[in-house]
Amino acid sequence: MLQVNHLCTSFFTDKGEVRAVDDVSLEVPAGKIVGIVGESGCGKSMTARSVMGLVRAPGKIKSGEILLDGRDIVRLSEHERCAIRGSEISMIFQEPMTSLNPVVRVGHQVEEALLLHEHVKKQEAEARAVEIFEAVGIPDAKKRLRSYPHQLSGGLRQRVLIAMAMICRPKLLIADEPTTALDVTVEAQILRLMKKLCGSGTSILLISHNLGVIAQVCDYVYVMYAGRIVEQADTFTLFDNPCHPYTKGLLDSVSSLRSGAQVLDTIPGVVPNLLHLPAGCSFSMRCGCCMEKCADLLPELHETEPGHRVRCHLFDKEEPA
Amino acid sequence: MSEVLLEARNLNREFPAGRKKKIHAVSDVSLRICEGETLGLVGESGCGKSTLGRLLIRLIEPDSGEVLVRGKPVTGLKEKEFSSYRRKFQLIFQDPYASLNPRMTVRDLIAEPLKTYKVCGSKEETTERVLELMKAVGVPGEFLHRYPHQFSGGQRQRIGIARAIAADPDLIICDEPVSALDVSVQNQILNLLRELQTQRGLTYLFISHDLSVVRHISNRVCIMFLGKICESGPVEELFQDPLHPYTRFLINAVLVPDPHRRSDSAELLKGELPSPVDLPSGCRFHTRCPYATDLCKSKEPAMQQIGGREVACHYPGVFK
Repeated sequence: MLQVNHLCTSFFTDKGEVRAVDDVSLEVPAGKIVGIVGESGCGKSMTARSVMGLVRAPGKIKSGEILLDGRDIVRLSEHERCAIRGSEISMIFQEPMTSLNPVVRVGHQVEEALLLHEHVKKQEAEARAVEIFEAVGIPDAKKRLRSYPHQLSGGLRQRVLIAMAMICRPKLLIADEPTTALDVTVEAQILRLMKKLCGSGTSILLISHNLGVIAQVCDYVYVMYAGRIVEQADTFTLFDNPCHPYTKGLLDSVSSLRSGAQVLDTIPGVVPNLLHLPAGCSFSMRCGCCMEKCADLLPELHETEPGHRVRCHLFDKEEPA
Repeated sequence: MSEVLLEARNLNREFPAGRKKKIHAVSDVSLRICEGETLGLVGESGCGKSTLGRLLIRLIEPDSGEVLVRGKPVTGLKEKEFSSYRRKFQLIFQDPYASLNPRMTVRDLIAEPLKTYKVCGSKEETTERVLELMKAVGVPGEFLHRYPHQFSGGQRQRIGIARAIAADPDLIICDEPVSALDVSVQNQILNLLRELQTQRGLTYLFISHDLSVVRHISNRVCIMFLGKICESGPVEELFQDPLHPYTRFLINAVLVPDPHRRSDSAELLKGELPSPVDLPSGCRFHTRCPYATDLCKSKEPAMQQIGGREVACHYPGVFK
């Protein structure tokens, strides 16, 4: 479905080049939910924005290819991209409060994509909007089309955004922290809705910092740290058998919170500044298993078992003597 | 049980919401915080938990009800008389980016409460004390003259904590202190809070929407829904055997970070928080409660004692 190969996105700032996304390759198969997990500033949102073609200056996609059904969309013109955006790939953002136009009725905002991409008549667009509102669980769909965003709660606004993203039946939905701004009870509702959408044939690339969200809905997970993928595996393998010290640290942090331990496990230190990354492994300064070569030599993404890759020198293959 | 440090009796607070309407932010809330404990306060956004926290230390005045500190009512006191209590109550805020003045250095930020409460005599003594506090919260002393923007979120939160403990308080109200932080840093701050509590005998009111965090740090918990406390009790009892339907739904909605325990079939709460302007009649939870009866629609349940717990529901434990 979606295949990203060696994507590099950088920001060229006064202080130097910030490599927000560094050599990221990932794949979203049809009908699956694929997750990217990582802490703030690790490049997960930039990866999503690169796929959508929403990288703004001074940012730029430096190299790599993004294949949607085999077609490279990096090299498309802005005009050609517009034709894809919304109809084949669409995206939902974190803040349901700020992603809607406050002075336009939500019905119109949802129908807009349909009128633009499929050139349908106004009446048909409205019928489809009612249909999609019902599908995403908005009660009183017909009446709600005439609401303004401020008249809706956070959960309903997020549903409107999902409806907006889904109305042209895209093949791929990119969801950037779709539930972070919502309350727990509503978060669970929205995640269940996303699973339902996936069941009806849409692939989803889900970006989240919350390991709970990832564990609950994703089929396959990529862990990002400082712009690079450090581990990738199917969800069960990743949670059962994490290999990278960073993934382990993250999982231990979360599980010790639930275990009743008096002192919680932490990862010492803080995320490094992307302007001054070490030449080697970017996690080496915080890593408990750091070896001599870690600071100078960037580890490769090794395959430890089929479908499970780790970027860490601990898993270097023995060199043949 | 140790001495009650702070007690609230029937606190009420409304805010005007235009055209004669009112937001019922906190209604008839009573609670006790004992010396040395951590009381967790949980609820969804807009349920009044932050307002309650501010009412307790009189950053907001209640419309009615009273607050007692070690048994003495403080609600009617003039600001001047209350100021000796102020020093004993401090706050830690959610947003470590917005709660520090960007134009002050770390030294000045931490020295501010020391000056306000005249803790130190001379400049040198102040600086020395600031360095001590920085050490206590784990910010290296060489950063004394740096500005907030030069720190990460976790370190800023540490500076906020140093400010809160500077005047040697009894009670700290932690208002979502880790919600804005990444997982790995969140745990560092939680460990620090606990360490400081043991060292300094602090009492915490810990406001959060994250049940896992509250379960870890609290001794007792109050669950709030739409301005009222619907259930309270010792933390493990409450989590293992919730009595109020809302508590159970909250616990069910927690996303377990384990793919083997997916909650695909767990019952989810329908709908969303009703508006605090137009409150539902009777029990405030009845519009979302699958067990609601006619009684729930007409009569507001009173708080009742069950063992060491308190619950405001006509049918506690109805879902069992």
